[in-house]
Amino acid sequence: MFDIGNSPDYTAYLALSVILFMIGTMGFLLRKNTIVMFMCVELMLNAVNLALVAFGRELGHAGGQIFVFFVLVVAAAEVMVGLAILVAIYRRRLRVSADDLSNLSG
Amino acid sequence: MDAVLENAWLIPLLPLMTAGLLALFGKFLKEPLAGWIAFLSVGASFLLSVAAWIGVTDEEHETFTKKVFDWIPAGGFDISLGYRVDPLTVVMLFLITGVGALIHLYAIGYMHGDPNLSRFFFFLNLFVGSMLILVMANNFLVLFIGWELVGACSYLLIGFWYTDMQKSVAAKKAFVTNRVGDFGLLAGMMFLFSYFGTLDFDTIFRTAPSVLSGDNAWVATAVALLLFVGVAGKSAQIPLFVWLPDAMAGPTPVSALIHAATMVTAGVYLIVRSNVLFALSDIASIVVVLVGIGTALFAALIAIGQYNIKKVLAYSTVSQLGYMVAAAGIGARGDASGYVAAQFHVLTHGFFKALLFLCAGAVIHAMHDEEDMRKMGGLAKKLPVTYATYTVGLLAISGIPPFAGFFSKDAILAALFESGEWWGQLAWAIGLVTAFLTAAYMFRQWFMVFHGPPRWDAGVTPHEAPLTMTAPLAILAAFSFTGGFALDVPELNSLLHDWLHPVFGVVGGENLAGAAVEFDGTVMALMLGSVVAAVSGVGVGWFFWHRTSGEDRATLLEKLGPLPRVVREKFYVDQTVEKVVQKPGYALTGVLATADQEGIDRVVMGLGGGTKRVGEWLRKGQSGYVRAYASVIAISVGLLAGYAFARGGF
Repeated sequence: MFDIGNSPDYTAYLALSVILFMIGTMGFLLRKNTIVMFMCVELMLNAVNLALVAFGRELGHAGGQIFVFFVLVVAAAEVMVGLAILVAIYRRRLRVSADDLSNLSG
Repeated sequence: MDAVLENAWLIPLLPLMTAGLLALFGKFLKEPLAGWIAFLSVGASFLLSVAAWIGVTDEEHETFTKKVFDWIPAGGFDISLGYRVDPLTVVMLFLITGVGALIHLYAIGYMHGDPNLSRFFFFLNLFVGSMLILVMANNFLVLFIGWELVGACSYLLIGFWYTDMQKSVAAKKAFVTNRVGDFGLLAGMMFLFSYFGTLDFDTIFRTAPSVLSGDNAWVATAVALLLFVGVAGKSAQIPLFVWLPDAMAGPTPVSALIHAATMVTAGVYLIVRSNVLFALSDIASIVVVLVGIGTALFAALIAIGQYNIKKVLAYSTVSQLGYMVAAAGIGARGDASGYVAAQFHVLTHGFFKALLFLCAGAVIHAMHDEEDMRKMGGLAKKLPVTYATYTVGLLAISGIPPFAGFFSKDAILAALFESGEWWGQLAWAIGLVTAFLTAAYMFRQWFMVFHGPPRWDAGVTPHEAPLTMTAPLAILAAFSFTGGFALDVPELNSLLHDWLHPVFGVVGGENLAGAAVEFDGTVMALMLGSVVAAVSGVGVGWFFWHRTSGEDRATLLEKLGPLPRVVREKFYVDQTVEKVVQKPGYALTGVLATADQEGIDRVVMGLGGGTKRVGEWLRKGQSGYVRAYASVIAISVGLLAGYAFARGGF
């Protein structure tokens, strides 16, 4: 079904995926700027997407690719809402640092 | 006349609907419109009752029952909402709607100027409607609804002027005392259901002799005694009579309604209605007769010492109810004449007691709300109509022939004597003494209120009541005069005997075959005896409270020792009840309240407090920093993944 003769071994894709995911995770944990944190979340999502596509191709199953479409759509919607919230927060506080947004502490 | 009986449900519904109307739109129905609407609805019920009477006559004294709809169809427990029209019901319908309508008419005049007039007539109509439900029920549960509603209405009406603490207390007393009786009735109903599987009158009364025989004979006694507890509550018998004398705290038309037409007659009605059950138990008959006649004597003794014009009448009601209950109790032993006599006295007492109460109301009205007889006297000239009608009622209750009370009381005494049982004849002797006392205390009241020198407070100018009040007095006086010989006289007239006969024919057997009393030597002697008792009572009343001057009376009373004081204090019944029931009741309430606060509340509050403290501790984990939460997630995922690796898969 797929021609996989010239392509690199799928473990390379997985390795890249893991690296991207770790970058995203560390960025999310270490940066305070919410926009950067947001971008990190996107990075994590896309790392997962890459893994899904790689698995799909390796296993000869279309499920992986199809699932990626869902992730993309949901991520797009989520970006919309998330950015709108960020803009609203910025308008109120003129800052977007995550540590300032701790009003919901117990 | 089928159509009338098919629609007999309108009889209770008319007053009930009017009550609803007055409750909803009472604000817009100004005086006297509210009163007239209420009066007309009860009057219409009376006309329908007449039609129902004709209907029952046409069907040859047949019992008409109709199921309106299934009310509680639950497995084996089927209760239908239905009604029953038979001769006994018709007699009660006449009394309730007839006397009830007259009392409504009277109330229009009496309650003139009260700001809550429409509320008053709302309660009054509800009261009449509830009583009609009670007597038209075709099973015990529907009867119980009416029974409870009547109790609730009496509470509302006795406490109608609820801003007066004493009156609200009287209302509460009536309600609570009635609850004790209601418990008995309810327990009796449960017994009946567990042995018959139904609460339907027809089925129970038809099968009772076979179901409650042999090993189950004790059930008949238990049921009859439990029902009698209910009777004692509603019909004010020892020891549950304490509420009735206080019930006169309500407006006078209410007293008349409670004491004559509704409420107290319910108990007597219940015995007569359940005559089959009472007939099956000797013990129950003895208890009913002795408690009844004991109440009659006891209340008559108390009545002699009272100074409040309505209290005297209230105790006389208790006393007369004692007669009725005793007669109903002996009914099962004699030839059913006892039942007829009880029902007879319910009717005549309904007439003359309503009359006497309404007269008392007219007197109170004239005396500017004065109820103490020591501040009356000499009112005969000022209130001629009231005086004349009161005198008729007085002669009727004292048992002077040919007034109504003579015939009904004589029928009761004859039934007691001719039962042939020793306890029946004992009751007869006590009844004779009570008849003497009745005449004495009633004439005492008559002399104190209408004769002798005026002892009014300054500024009181007695005046006759308006026509709406005097017209009912005149009508009731006419009934109090004719109600006796028109209904039942030994040998000459057996109207009531013939009419009620089918009600007692259910059991069969010669014991309950109703027939007119034969006029023989015994009856003659008994009549003579009660006349002598009544006349000597009148004599004593005249001698002691009219001829004797105040000082002589005082010295005479002193010779009697502590007795007059004990009588005036009502044999310390209220004080005893307070000590025996109320005090321990309060103590028990205190203990329970402490147990609730210190025991149950502590557990509940402890659970709440514990949850709160755990929450306080847990909330510290919620820092509010998104990155902290994310770290927890990341570390957790890492740990899980490490664990999975270590195990080589999940």
